[in-house]
Amino acid sequence: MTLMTPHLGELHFSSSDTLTFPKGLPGFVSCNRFLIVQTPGIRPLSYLQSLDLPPIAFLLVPVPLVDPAYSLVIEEGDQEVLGTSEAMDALDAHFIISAHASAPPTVNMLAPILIRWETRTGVQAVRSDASYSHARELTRILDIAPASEPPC
Amino acid sequence: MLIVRRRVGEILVIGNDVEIEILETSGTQVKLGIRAPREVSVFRKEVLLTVGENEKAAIAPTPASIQTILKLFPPA
Repeated sequence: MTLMTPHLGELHFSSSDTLTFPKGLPGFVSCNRFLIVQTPGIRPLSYLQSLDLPPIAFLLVPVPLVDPAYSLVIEEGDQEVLGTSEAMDALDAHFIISAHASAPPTVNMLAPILIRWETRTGVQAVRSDASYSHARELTRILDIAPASEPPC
Repeated sequence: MLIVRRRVGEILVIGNDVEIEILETSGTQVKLGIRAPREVSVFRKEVLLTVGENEKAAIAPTPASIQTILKLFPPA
């Protein structure tokens, strides 16, 4: 399968590469199918590329590289989507980076992207507490290997 | 800010069309029931903040912005 995107060019993928976000993302509820795209030169960053709206691509950074002590909290509705209430180690967690020329880059620590590779499902888990900021300035990225790598 | 106290089962009315009923309290949590017309959006505040951030982040950063981010890695 092929997808033409304005930012990443032509992407070739198979249906088995597709991730399903049943609830979409806040503000993008109609975007339910995504790819994780890792291009040379930007590791360990990656893109969450929408298959439903090709102009939409979110830049991701693994949570442990921003805050190794980040406390993951998953609301009941998101647990139902992911199909697990087990140890959070089973989930691949990323923050979305917002970066534009006019301002320093920020990460939304209030709502990490969580992916369960076993079922290829994902959610943006918006937490209810005020422990973390929705726009924390990204001032450093740690040199620590992510807890889990996406399967090939 | 208008501050009111309500018990379980009691209701607040906002405008002509929005009602908020206190359904249950448990510890530090309150369960609310909200009746509003379909065209009135009701969100947790955290979700609204995330909508705003997602709209800003949805268009992938430029290569120059990405290079700026990659410089945040510790030097080899």
